[in-house]
Amino acid sequence: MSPRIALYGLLWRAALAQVHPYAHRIVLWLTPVLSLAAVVLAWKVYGPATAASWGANALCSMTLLTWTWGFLPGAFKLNSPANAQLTPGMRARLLELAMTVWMLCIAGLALANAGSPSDVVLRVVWWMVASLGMALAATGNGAGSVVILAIWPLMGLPSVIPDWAHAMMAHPAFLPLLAALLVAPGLLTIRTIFPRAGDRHWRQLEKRNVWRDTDGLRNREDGRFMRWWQARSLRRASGRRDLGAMLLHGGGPGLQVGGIVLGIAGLGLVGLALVGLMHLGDYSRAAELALEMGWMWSLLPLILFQMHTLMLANLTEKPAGQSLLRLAPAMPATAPRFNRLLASTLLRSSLLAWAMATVTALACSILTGAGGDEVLMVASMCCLALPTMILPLRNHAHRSRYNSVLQWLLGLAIAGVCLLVAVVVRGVLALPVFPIAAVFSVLLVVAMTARRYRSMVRAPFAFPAGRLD
Amino acid sequence: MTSHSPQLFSIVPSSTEPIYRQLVEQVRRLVAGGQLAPGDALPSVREVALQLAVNPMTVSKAYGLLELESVLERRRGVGMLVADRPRKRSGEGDINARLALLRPTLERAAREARELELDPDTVLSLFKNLLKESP
Amino acid sequence: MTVLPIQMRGVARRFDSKTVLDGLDWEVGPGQVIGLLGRNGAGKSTLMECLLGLREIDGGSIALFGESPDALSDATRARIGYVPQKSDLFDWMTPLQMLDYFKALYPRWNDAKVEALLGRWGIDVAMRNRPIRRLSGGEQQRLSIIRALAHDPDLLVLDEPVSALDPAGRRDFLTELIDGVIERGTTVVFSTHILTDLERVALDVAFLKGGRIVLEGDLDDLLDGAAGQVVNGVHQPKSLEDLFIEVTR
Repeated sequence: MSPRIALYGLLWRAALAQVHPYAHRIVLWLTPVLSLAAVVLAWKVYGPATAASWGANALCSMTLLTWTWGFLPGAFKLNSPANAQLTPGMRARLLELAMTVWMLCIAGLALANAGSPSDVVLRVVWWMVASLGMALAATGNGAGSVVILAIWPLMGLPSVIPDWAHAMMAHPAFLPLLAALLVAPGLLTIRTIFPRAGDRHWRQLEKRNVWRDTDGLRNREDGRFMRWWQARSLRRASGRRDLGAMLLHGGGPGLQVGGIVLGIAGLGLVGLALVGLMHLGDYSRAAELALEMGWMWSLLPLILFQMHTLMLANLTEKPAGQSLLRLAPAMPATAPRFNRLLASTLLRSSLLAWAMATVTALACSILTGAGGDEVLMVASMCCLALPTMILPLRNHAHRSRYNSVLQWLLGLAIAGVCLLVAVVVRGVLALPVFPIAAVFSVLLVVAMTARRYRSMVRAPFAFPAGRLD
Repeated sequence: MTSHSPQLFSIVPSSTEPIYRQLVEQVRRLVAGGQLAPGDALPSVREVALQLAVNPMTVSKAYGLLELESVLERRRGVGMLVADRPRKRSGEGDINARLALLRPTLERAAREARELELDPDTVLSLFKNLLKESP
Repeated sequence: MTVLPIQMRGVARRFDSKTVLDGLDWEVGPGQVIGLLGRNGAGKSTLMECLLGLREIDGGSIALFGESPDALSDATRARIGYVPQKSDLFDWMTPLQMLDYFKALYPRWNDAKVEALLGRWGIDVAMRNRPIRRLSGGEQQRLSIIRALAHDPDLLVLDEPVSALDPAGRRDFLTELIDGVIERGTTVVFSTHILTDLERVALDVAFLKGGRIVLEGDLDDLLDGAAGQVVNGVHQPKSLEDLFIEVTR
């Protein structure tokens, strides 16, 4: 094997190892398994042609996801200022590897979906921009979140494009041309992600944005408003001697529920404003578009809620002096009382975030004219998103065995289990799936919360001086 | 009666001698040499400790030892004073005591002279010239 | 009979298979200024963390002012000040925020002393409103010391408090230690590798080796070679450095 390829392999494995020690092995096994599963499923249901397409789709999307959330954050860490400037050729190799994998994945996805040309073009454009946006977000660039939020609702766009554009896009040469055009911004984005020492590089390192630290969605350097808000909540908590709030402040920046509540409320208002604008513009398809966008937008608060609980669950991933709080006279002295304070604070915080997310989601759906069925669906989705609430109630003295991504998947898995049970129930009792799943989800969460709360209170002191691995 | 400032003292922390012993020796030399006249007030423990950045109890120990030797005496309300001792300027015992204080330094100088392989006469003439120089 | 600030008996602590503290006995009386010495990795930080209840112990008993560390009363905790080795704690807060935070947690807080120390130790107004992670290592360490001194503790436990300070900073720290801490009869336990500082302020030293305190005594006596426990072959050590190397070999 040529040394270059070997080097690429080494860099890929090293980058993934930065994210999680077993990441490379997991991906190596999961990708072919899932692709094979997709092929088999499609073969049985549709036929060989679709099966191949599905398989290729699965392969390329898994690789693209690994590239975004596994390779890029790790490679960013590898590309420290010293390495970027002084290690010969490393930055160049990282750039080449990133670009190659990206283009191969996009090409694979394009070929796999070569069915209807016009559809493909839009989708390819969407994938390219979305993957670049996620790449930026995953490595801590603020622009990433903007790109993603901008492109998210545009998934429902195909119906809006005028016919002459469709005709142009059906031309076979259009796609390669467009792809070639988009390579340049892609290259630019990748070069931004891997800076080469200098002040900008150090500033990026200092920012430590929320998406980038996959091991814990914390330690962000917030904008001026968030800093002011945090300072204000810290002052209020100190003034009132609110021990629970002070505990959370001691755990890290940005754990206070106030920030999330503001964020959710802001999202809701932005969504409503957009819909209002569309109605004002007397757009003929306004209602339809609002409905299509509406449910997607109403899911965003739930994602914020889940991010909040994940941050709380990884409260002590990076030790930051919380052990000093044990020596503070105002805090409870014995481990059980301290853990109880922490547990009730975490629970209260998650519940508040969930309540806010639910209210916002429901309000947005109702105000954008959704019918009874849709509102019920949104409510059920909110209940299905509830399981992540149990994640912060764990033994914080021990290092968590799962990183935040796996924890989130655990939450999803519980929701999946509820759905399965609901399907079974539907078979037996002919009741609608989602509401039943929602009810199950709530019951399950209540039971698990009680159990985990009790075990957390019994656990050793939550903020030891070193993780009790 | 003069009171002395804490700048009077200096210590070498990493030397072989413990700090309190260095202080004791220094006070003995100053008293024998006359810079500390009987009845002079020494700086307080706290002042010396702050000046030299040493533990006040170390200074206190040094002062205590000197008090036991009757080099210093404690006067209530004033602090530590140099004790009145019958001073015979050219007495035999006094000379011997002062020579004993100088001996360690001369022993060190002699050892260094041997290491540098200098003959005694050269060294002695150098020493005589140095003694003639007034500070 | 006054209660001893620190009393440790048979304390044991293991990390996986490695035994860091092995049946350690130690007592520190009120007003003592004791330096804890040991090689890198000997377990000085672990000892201090176990002492204060920040880490669990695998055996033995500890009494801080007569109380067990895992159930310290509020009054006792208000008498203890700790400066950990890592000084970049709460690094997202600004110095003023951090000090206000701890002020809310402690009953007694000497605002005048905090203000004076912030001024004297060069943490000017611009720095006080910048996140702690933006300060240099020395400034962070000085801030950490101020935080521990602010509530006038009776027991001060310092873990390499001056490792990142320049000589002027160390002199300032020693002066403050002598002036504001030792003079008031505070018990001080500190570990440092800078032996000249130790020689100036410590009256006793304790050597940690093999998970136990192998040699403990008056610094002056040890240097004179007249210690109660003389380790084999150690006669008239030339300096604290030689004694250190000799004992911890």
